[in-house]
Formats: sequence, C-alpha cells, structure tokens
Amino acid sequence: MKAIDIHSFCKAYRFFLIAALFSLLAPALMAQQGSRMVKGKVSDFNTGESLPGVNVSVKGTQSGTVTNIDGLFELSLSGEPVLLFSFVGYTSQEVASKGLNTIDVRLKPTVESLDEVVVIGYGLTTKKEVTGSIASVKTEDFNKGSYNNPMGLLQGKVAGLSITKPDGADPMAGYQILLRGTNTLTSGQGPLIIVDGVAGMDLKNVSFEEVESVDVLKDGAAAAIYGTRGSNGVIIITTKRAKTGISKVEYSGYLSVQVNPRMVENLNAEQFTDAIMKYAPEKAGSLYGTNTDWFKEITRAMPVSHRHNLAISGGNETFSHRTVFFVDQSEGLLRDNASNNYLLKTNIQQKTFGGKLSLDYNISYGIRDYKPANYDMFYQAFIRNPTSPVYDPGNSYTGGYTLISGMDYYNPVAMLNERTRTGKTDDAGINVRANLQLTPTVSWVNMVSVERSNWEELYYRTKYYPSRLGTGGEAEISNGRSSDLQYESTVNYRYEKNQHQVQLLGGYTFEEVQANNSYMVNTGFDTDIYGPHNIGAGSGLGEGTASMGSYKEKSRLISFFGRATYNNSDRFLAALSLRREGSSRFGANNKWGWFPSASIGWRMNNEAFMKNIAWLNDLKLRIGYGITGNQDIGNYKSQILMGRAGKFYYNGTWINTYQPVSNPNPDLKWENKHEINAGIDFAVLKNRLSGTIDMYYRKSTDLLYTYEVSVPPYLYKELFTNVGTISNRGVELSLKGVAVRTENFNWTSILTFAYNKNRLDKFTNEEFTNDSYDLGWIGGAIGVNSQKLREGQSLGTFYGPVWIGLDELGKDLFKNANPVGQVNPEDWEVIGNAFPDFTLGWSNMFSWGDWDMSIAMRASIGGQVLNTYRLYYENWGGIGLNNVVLSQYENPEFTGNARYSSKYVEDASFLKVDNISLGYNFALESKYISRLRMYATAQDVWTLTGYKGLDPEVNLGGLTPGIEYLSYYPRTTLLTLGVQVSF
Amino acid sequence: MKKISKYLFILMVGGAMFTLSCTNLDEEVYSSIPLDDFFRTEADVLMNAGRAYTKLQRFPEEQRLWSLMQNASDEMVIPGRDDGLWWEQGRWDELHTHHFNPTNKILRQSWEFVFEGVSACNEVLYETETTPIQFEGKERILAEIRVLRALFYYWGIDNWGNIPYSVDFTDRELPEQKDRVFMFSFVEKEILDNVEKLQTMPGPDYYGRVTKGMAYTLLAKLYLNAETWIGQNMYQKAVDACDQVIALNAYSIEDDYFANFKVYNEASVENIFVIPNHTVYTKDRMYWYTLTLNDASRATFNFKGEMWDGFVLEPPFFNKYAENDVRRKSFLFGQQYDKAGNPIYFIEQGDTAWFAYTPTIDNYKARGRWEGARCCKYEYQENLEYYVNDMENDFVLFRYADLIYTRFEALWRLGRAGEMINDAHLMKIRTRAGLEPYNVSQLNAEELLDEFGREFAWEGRRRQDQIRFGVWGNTWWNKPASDANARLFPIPQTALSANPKLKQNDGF
Repeated sequence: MKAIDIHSFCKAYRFFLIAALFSLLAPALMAQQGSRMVKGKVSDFNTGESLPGVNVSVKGTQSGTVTNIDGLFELSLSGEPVLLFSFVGYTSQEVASKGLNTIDVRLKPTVESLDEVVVIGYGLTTKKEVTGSIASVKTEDFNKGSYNNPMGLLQGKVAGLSITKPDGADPMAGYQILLRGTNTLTSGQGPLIIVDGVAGMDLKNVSFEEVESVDVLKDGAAAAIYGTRGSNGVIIITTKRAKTGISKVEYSGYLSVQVNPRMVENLNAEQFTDAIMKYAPEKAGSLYGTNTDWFKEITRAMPVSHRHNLAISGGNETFSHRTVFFVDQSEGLLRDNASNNYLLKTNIQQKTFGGKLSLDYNISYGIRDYKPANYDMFYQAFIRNPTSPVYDPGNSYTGGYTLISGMDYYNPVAMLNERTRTGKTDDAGINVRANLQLTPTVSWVNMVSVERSNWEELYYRTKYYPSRLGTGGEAEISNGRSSDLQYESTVNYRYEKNQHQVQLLGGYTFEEVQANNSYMVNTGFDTDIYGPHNIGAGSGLGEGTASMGSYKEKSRLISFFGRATYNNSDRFLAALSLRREGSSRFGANNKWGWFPSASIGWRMNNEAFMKNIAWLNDLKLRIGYGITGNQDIGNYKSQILMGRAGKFYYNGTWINTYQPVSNPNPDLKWENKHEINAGIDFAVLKNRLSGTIDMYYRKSTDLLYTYEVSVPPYLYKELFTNVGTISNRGVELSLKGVAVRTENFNWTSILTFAYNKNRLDKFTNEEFTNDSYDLGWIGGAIGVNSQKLREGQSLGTFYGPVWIGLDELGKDLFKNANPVGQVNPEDWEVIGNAFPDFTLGWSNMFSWGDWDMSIAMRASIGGQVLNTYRLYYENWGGIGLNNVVLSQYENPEFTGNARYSSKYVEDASFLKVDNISLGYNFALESKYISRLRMYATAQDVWTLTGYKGLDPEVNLGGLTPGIEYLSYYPRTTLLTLGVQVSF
Repeated sequence: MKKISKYLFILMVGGAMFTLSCTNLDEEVYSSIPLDDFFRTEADVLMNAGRAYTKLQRFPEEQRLWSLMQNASDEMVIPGRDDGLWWEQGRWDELHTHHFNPTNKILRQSWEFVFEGVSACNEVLYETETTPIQFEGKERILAEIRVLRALFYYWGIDNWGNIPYSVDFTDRELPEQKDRVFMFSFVEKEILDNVEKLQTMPGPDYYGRVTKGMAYTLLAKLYLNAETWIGQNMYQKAVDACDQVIALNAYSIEDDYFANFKVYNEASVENIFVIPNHTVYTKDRMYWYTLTLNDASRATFNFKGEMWDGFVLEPPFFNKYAENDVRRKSFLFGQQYDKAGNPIYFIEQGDTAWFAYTPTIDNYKARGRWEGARCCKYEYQENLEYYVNDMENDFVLFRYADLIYTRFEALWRLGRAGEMINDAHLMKIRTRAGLEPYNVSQLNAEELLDEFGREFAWEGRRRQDQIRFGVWGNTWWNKPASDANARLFPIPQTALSANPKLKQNDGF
C-alpha cells in the first residue's frame, strides 16, 4: 500500500474546505453581487394542500429545484428572472421574482386530465376508457354558495339533467331531478342516488361541503348494471374520504340572509280601493278602510341561516380517518318556519394483512328538527282583502282575529298563530366495505350497510284556527320508522397481456327495506294548553270522531350481475354487462328480469392516421345500448288483498264489511327502458377545450298506468297494469374550455345544452282502447281538464279554447266559438306543452391573483306553463271578497268571467342567473393556517322571462307538469358570506 | 397460497349458500288481509255479504244516481250562482235542459254506482255459495243479495234501458248488452224466485235489509212501469203485488208525515226499505244539509260545518203546494229563525238584511244566495259537519205511502179507481197533509202527477213518474222541449270505451 501523501491530502482537503465554504457562502456572496435566496411554498389552489415534487425552475435555464414533502422550496437566484412552476396534472405558472424573496404559489389542476377518475357502477375507470354516457363533475366545477342539499351543487352543470326547486325558498324544499325527459307515467321519476356505495340515501344526511365528486350515469349502457333502478339515471356521489398524512382540520362557515322576497303580485289597499271605486262600485261594502299587507304579516323581514362544517382528518398508511360535524340552522321566509340539521359522520380506512385487506367504515348520525310551512297561507295572503284589518279585538268567537265569511277564505295570521307543527327525524347509518386482494389480479369486495330512520310529527290547531272555528282544537301525532339493509359482494379480475386489457366483474346484491308508521287524531279540546301532548283529552274520542291508523310494509330487491370490459391499446374499448334482478313488488309470474347492455368506444386520436394532429388531444367515438327497468311502483300492487269497505247494519249493530282493495294482477311487471346512445368525446388545444356530444333515443315499454275496466267482470273500474310505450329522443352537448389563460388571469367556461323530445307512443291494446284521457283538473269555478294524455303526443300537452282577444265590451273572443260565446270541448286545440325545447347552462369562473369570481346561469327555451293565478284572479268578478292580480289593475279592459283558454297558457322561456360569487384567498405565512378563503355569494339572483307569474320553473314531474299551484312558497335571493379555513 | 385458497373455498361456498337462500321475493303483507286468510268463520261470510249492502249507501250523494234523476226532473235544480260557483262548466245545466252528455261526470258516477252494486252482488253470491261454511240464515242472505241485485238492475233499466247483463262472477268475458224486455223479465223472475225465502215481518233485526215487503214493493213498481218500459199492460199484476204487501199487515201510514224522515226514523211503521245511516260510520253519504242550505242557516240548526248552497227547489214546483199543505214544510222558505225562535238578520254595509229564502229565482245563471226554497224534509240534527258528523237519518227508498199510491194509480189506469177511493190508508195520506181526501171526479193525470210530486218530493220517484205520465218532453222553467230519446240517459263514454260490446242509446 502506498503511503498516503499527507501533503497532497492536505491540499485536497484544503481545496475541499474552501470549495465547501465557498458553496455555502456563495449564495450570500452572489446576493451581495445581486444574487439572493428565494423561498416559498407551492400548494393546490382548491384544497390548499401542499404539493411536493413541484418543479421550480428559472425560466429559460436548466437550473431549478423541486418542492419538498411540505411543498416548500428554496432557490438561489441571480438577478430577477421569471420562475416557472410546473407539475403533472396542474397548469404551470410563471411568476416574476422581482422584488420578492418569498413566493407562495397556488397551482390549479389541469382542465380535463384524461386520467381523471370516473365512477361507474360498482367500480372506477378513467375518463379515457369510458364507453357509456357518463358526466363527471368535480369540486372546482360545483356551484358556489350555501345549500341545504348537495344537488344544488350540480344545477346546470350536466347536460340533460334538470335540477329545479319548485318549492322556492322553503328551507325544507328538496330538488326535483329529471334526466332526459319523463320516461314513465306512474312510477317514480327520480334517479337512483348512491352515496359512497350505499343506494337510496336521503340527501338531507349528506353535507354539501363534503361532496368530492358526482358522476351521473346517463344512458342505458352505463345504468343497466343497476337493473330495475336505473331507468331514470344513476347519480353517484363520492364524499371526501379519509386521507393519510398529517392531521388536518378544515372549517367552513356560511352566514346567509334572504332578501328580495318575490311573491305573486296583488293589489295593495290603495289600489284595491281605487279598483273597486272604478270598476266594481257595487262592492264598496268590502272596503273596510285599513291598510294591511298580508304578505308582510306572515313573513320574516330578513330570514337568517347559518351553516358550519368542521372536518378533522389524519392518519397514516394503515389507519386514517375523516370526521365531520355539520350544523345547519335555517329560518324560512314564512314566520315560524325553520329547519335545523345536525350531522356527525366519520370515515375510517384501515389496511391490514400487508395491505391485502383494506376496510372502509362509514358511520353517520343525523338529527333534524323542523317546523314545516303551510303553503296555503301564501294563497290566503294573496286573496285576502287588503283593506280589512288583521285583528278584531271584540270578536271572542274568532279569538280576536277578523273573520270574513267566504268559502275557503281564512285569515292567514290566524292560521299562522293558531297552529303549531313540529317534526323531528333521527337517521343513523353504518356501513363497512372490505376489499380483499386475493391475488394481484383478483379482488373481492364485500359491503354491508344498515340505515335506520325514525321520525315524529306533532300538530296542533287551536279552537281559533280559522277552519276549526266553533269545533274545538285538533291534535295529531304521527310517527314512523324505517330501515334499509343492503349487502353487496363483488369479485373483480384483471388480466393484461400485450396490448389487451380485460376486466371482469361479478356480483350479488341484496336489499331489504321496511317501513311502518302510525298516527292518531283527536278533536274537541276545550283548552289549548295541552297542545298535542294530551291527545286523549279531546271530546272526539268519546264521540267516535277521533281516528287512528297504522301501516307497515316491506320489500326486497335481489340481483346477480356481471360486467366485462376490454381495452385494446387504448384505442378500442368495449364493455358488456348483464344483470338479473328480482323485486318482491312484481306479480308472481314476473318477479325476475334480465337487464343487459353493450357499448363500444374507439379512440380515434390514437390511430396512426390521427396521431400527428397536434391540436387534437382526444377524440373518442362511442355507442352503447342498454336495458333498464323501473320498480318504483309501491308495494303489494299485484296482489288481491282484502281491506275494510264500510259498515253494514246487521241484526241491530253496525259491523265492518270487507272488499278487495284493488283488482289483482299477477302479471304485473316493471317498465322496461331500451336506450341507444351515440357520443363523441373530444379534447383539443392541449386539453384547453374539451367536450362531449351525445345523441340518444330511449323507449320505455310496458308502461304502468291505471286503466278503466268494465265492471263486471272486474271488481273495480280500474286496473293497474303494463300497457303503454313512451319515448324520448334528444341531443346533449357539453363544453368546457379555458377561454383566457395568462399569467394573471384565468377564465374557464362550462356550457351545457340539451334538447329532448317526448312522445307517448302508445297506451292502448286490444283490451284498453281508450286513446285519450283528460287530466289536469282545474277546480272551483273553472271546472275543466286542462291537459290530455293522448297517443302520439308528448306528455304534458295543454288542450283548450284558442283565445283571440277581447271584444269592444271587454269579453273574451275565442276561435270556433259556439252561439253562447264558448268553445265546445270537441273544438279545443293543442295550446301548449309543459316541456321546454332546449335547456342550457352556462357557468364562468374567473381568477386573477388571489381573487376569483364565478357566475352561473341557466336558460330554458320553449315550453308553456298554465298561469293559474291569472286564470282565477285576472278579472273583476271576485273582487271585494278576493283580491286580484296586479296585471288586471294595470290592464283593466277585461270585464268577463274567468274562463280557461290559451290566454293563460304562457311561454315559460327564461334566463336565470343562479349564482354570482366573489372570493379572496388570503396568502398567509402562518404555521397553523394553511389556507384561508373568504367569499360572498348571491344565489337565485335574477330571472329574465316573459312569464307573467311568479316563476316559470314549476313542477315538471308527474302526469300533469306545467301547472302552477295556488299554494306556493315565495322566492328569495340568498346572500351568503362564507369563510373556509384549513389548519 | 394453499392456505389462502382453502379459506377462499370456504368463503365462496359459504357465500354461495347464503346467496341461494336469499333469493326469496315473497311479499309479506301487514296492513291488509291476503285472500287466503279470509273466509274462515260465519262472521267472515257475513262481513263479506254485507259489502253488497254498503253499495247502496252512496245513493243520495251529490253526484250519484239520486242527484242525476232529480236534477233531470222538474223538482230540483242547481242554477249557477251569482258568485260563479256551481256552474261547473254547465254539467248541471246539461241535466236540467236534457242536453245529456256521455262525458258528464254525474252520469258516469251514477252508472258506476249501479254496476259496482251489481258486481259486488255477483261476487258476494259466488263467495257465499262456494264457501263450505254453513250457518242458519245462509239461504236467506243469498236470497237477499239476489233481490238486491235485482234492485240495482231495476235502476239500470229505469235509467238506461239497454244495459250490460252479468250474473256470473267467474265469467271473465265482457258482458253482453241486453234490452229492456230481457232485463225486465230477468228482474221479475229474480224477485219471484226468491221472495218466499225472505223475512216476512220487519223488525229491528231486519232493519235495512231486503224483506218480503220490499221485494213485493219492488215488483209492484216494476209492473207499474211495464207499459212505459216494454209496452205491456201489467197494471193488474201491480195491484196483486201490492196486495201481497198489504196482506202482511206489517205497515201503516204514520200520523205525522215527517216521522218517516226524522233523525231517528227507525221507529217509523211506514218505511219499508231504507238505507241505514250513522253519523260517523256513513259519513260523506247523506249530507243534504250542506248541499241545499246556505251558511246563514247554521244558526237555525246549530251546525258546525260550512254549507255549499247549491241544490234548490225548482220555483214552479213550489206552487204545486196549497198553502195549508203540511208537506210544504218539507221546504224552507220565507224568514228564517234561529234555535231560540228569533228571526235571523245580518248587518251588511250598514243595512239590515233579513235572512229569508225566496222560492223564486230571478236569474237562472246567477242565483242569489238566498233565492230558491231549500229542502228540510229530513230532519237536521245539531252539530252537523261535513265529513265529520253527517246526517244520521236513514234514507227512505220504499215506504208504505208509495205502495198505496202505486196500487191506486194502477187501479186508476185500469179505470177502477173507485174500488180504492175510500181506503183508509189512502185517505190518511191526504188527511195527514191537511187536505181533503180525493173523490173520483177529481182524478186526472195532471192532478195525480202533482199529488205524487207533493208526496214524494226529493225522494227519487219524480223522474220515473214524469216519464210514465208522458210529460218528460215538456218544457218547464228553463228547460226546453226534449224528444223521446231523452227518456233514457246516454251510456257513459267510459263504459263504452271499456266494453266495445255496448252500443250507445239512440239520440246520443
């Protein structure tokens, strides 16, 4: 061994030392010479999470660094170059370093990453592999604002999915959800809602803040795997799951106030007095001289609500949790109307057996207490004489309220004060999902879920409640329980060889739902002190006028299913699924059915001839066909059951008699929907613009309807059976694009468009030959049916006389009028249809610096609504007792009586600005707070429409859509101030 | 690996077994009785049989058979009110003016009333006959149901003439339409075959049930109308059937006309066949007070509920009553009084409005709230409230006065009125009304028709009487002349659509 040359070693050592010193000092030296250290933190724009591994480089050079596990970086710069921040899946950002020593950057996830996860039935796939029509909405695209139900987040975001709130500002109002038109006459029309794998969850138990993403399975090919529950589409909601990593606490709070209440406009006291003097002077006796704003008397001036969501999460690779507390207290516009919701939910994820077994537990408990509104109060506030006072202190019969005699004419303040109604619901749910990786390619998932719900409602009307005057108070107690047990077992197998990828899925599900309820009603209480809490004390019990009842029902759903998907080098995709499902609801001859689907996709951009088109990132053609069913028909409809029929006087006493409750039908089966859907998915310009076009045709056969039958031989004149066919066809377009992307400003826009045409193809056969039914009864003085259900026409078609104007005396003139000035029913024509031709949604998100703003709008073109308020109250006939609509006062030429005609069937096209939101992200240096964001949102801002009534968006479900209700809940604009903090 | 595959195997097998046992989709029923669990005891059989009787209970409702027949006649009318209510697109006007329309709701519901009754009787007969359970009175119940069915068919022939015929519950074919001649002989035969099995003497145990008296009364009415319906003179047979009832010595004419219509009219010796009512058990069936009275009448009777104020006495009919005719008190007119006897008035816009009903009506399409005489024939109990406490009076379908007058008319048509002119029962009908009994010279068609109108006002006979006396096509009040086709109602459109074997009546 050669002796180390000490001298050369020392030399080397000195050199090394100097070099080390130099490298340490170099930044300082360089700084002194105009170079410096810049540090900062890179995090995700939406979630505030720190992003490790982000490339921080000096633009135009090779030098740079990478952020560490906490998202922090440090870089030595000379001069003031521009830094470039880039990371896979995120949009790169450039930041000038001039004058800055600390640069904190928030990166936004890239638009439409092709590897984005999409949830399909019983599994996940990626956007590029999907062959059915599935719309996937992520957090950044959700509507901003404060919601009592997660569906509000999606309004206007999915083409073809109509989400509306026909009940206005009621804090307990739910959303009406319709997908691709109406596909049934009598069965349920709502889609199947799955939350974290559990079917049929009540959305009131899901905090809107906790929704991570929503996937909507729109067509038959995608939904067929859900068999008899898939006909109206499937909405799969994934909530935020437990995440490994350091503990995090996230809090969001919202304080909202409702302003600008909008109700049907009537005359105030001054206008009312003037109108009577001018147009109905014989009713001068109805002028009582006071000035009452009935609407104000029953509403709150500024209803306030606040919502808080606190989420704590943390854990490590083998055990992590996310626990959420949610509190929602909302006041309604109507006095004494409120809804409170308290939720506690935890998601725990555990991995054992070396990662082979992963367990996902979800436990949730929710309590809701509420005071429901009586919509009739708003109708009474509309019609009531504004010159009559609220109180009549000398009137002991009414308890001090003014009483004016009239049919269905009540003092709304008395209705409000002389009634108490409260309700309470507890919901508890637990589910466990165990995923066992048997081999690297085979996994077996088992899930068990139990949900229980209890509710109770107490209702008391005092002896001064207007419709009970002179009869004593009335108390009602009702309650119920329900439980839902689900078990699911699926086996998944993956096979890959060369360019072939195959996935096979096989499974079994079992669901049992049980519900029971009971009620008791008693009347004749001489004191109101008890309220509903001493229900035996009313005199009705002894007189035999008290009533009580109870009911229990149970149903089961069992199915076996399988799916195979094939992927050939990401160019050719195919999927096949089959479900065999049975439901206890169907007749003995038809309990089970088959629901197949097949779909294929072709990713054209991966083909050789398309690979060189630089601006094209993705182009996929797909076509799919699937059959789904609809079993939402209620229990026991196929059986012959005996129920009580009335009393019979036999041998000196009254005995009960029994009769069949309905005609039996052992052939009762589900409605079948066949659907074919062709679509194109594309992304261009580096994914800057992407979109989807879908065209579909869906046909539901074996429609269930209650037909009139001959008695005898049937026992009843009606039979609930499968006969008809209804079809919907349409086009949907969805576009998402980044319109502007500069250093400081980003503008993303989402546009959805849908066109749907509905047609009732058939509902007759050899036995049932009546091809036209009259529906849409308008009662009271009008007394006509406004719609017809007719073969060959769309649902919701209005029939009536055609109004052509007023004559010189101010009376109605109709087309084809008979000698007495009316139109015979056989001369009625089609005067409108409830369904719109096109629906559009347009949302825009802007961000600059720390600010962001978004505006979401929706439009509907075509469709008509019957303006019932104008029909009844746009005339001078009833003034005096009743008020009239403002439009009659402003255009008083009409002097005739209320008569149904096309005059009142109005165009319902509208443009609505649903929400406008402005937010600010605070750039913080705090060790504790990783993200702080504040924002202000206005919801239900503005409506542009020619419709003269309150809101052209009325109920579109059921057999008679498009008819405005007289009992309604007003609309308000919600202003919210919100804060989101992450610790 | 082997260990895992062993566990795997066990799990799979276990899973498979579990899944096989969990494919049971039978429905468990909790709140109704599946048919197999029914029909176990005599009580069950009676409860089932009683169902056919409950089908009668809907007769006097607002929109069913009684209302249909009465509104088409000249004694009852529903004009449109001056506040727009009750016009209801002219569906009552159609009945009054005889512009009958197959889509009219009252017409349809009346048809359903009759045929649901027939169908229930068919079903009950089948079930009662086939059940092996025997009990005393089974034969009698079967006979009662057959005659009850005959009653429904009688109404069918009376109103529609050519109706679907079905007597076998097990026959799933659509029924054939039969004409009046066929149906007449069927009804006649049913009654004759079963009348002897029925209860002879009425009594509390048989109250509201089909008895011999009822069956022979029905037979008599059938024969009385035979000439009008099928062109055969059967008046002698009518007289004989009446004699059968008289021979029972079970009925007589009450001293007080209104005793038959009291709230608790079970004690009436004149009523032959009634529909029993109970204030709670048969609510929503007998609610005349709400149909005919105005709200202001609540003070008179101490009611709780609201009045609908629609059915009124047709103005010319009121004039058929002499001023001293006791029966005129079936109607409310003139100043109204409260329970204490004070006249009722209201202060309206500074003026005193005295609450009085006027028998006249100025404007048929805009009736004032207090215009038109109102019915109070059936005594009104206190505290009535629609759908909570309805009228308890049992509705009278057949009564002895009806039978006596039937015999009288049959004899008159045979030219032998003199045989009965001094009959005690006959004379009592007139004397209890405060009028002189008839003598033969006073008898003519117009007088008889008017007398029947006065005696049986609003009971359901008027239309039949007017047709039989040939005046159905005349004009009265706001009704124009109507042709012979108006003597039958059209078959409802829904019935024609449900059964293509039915043909619509002429003229519709």
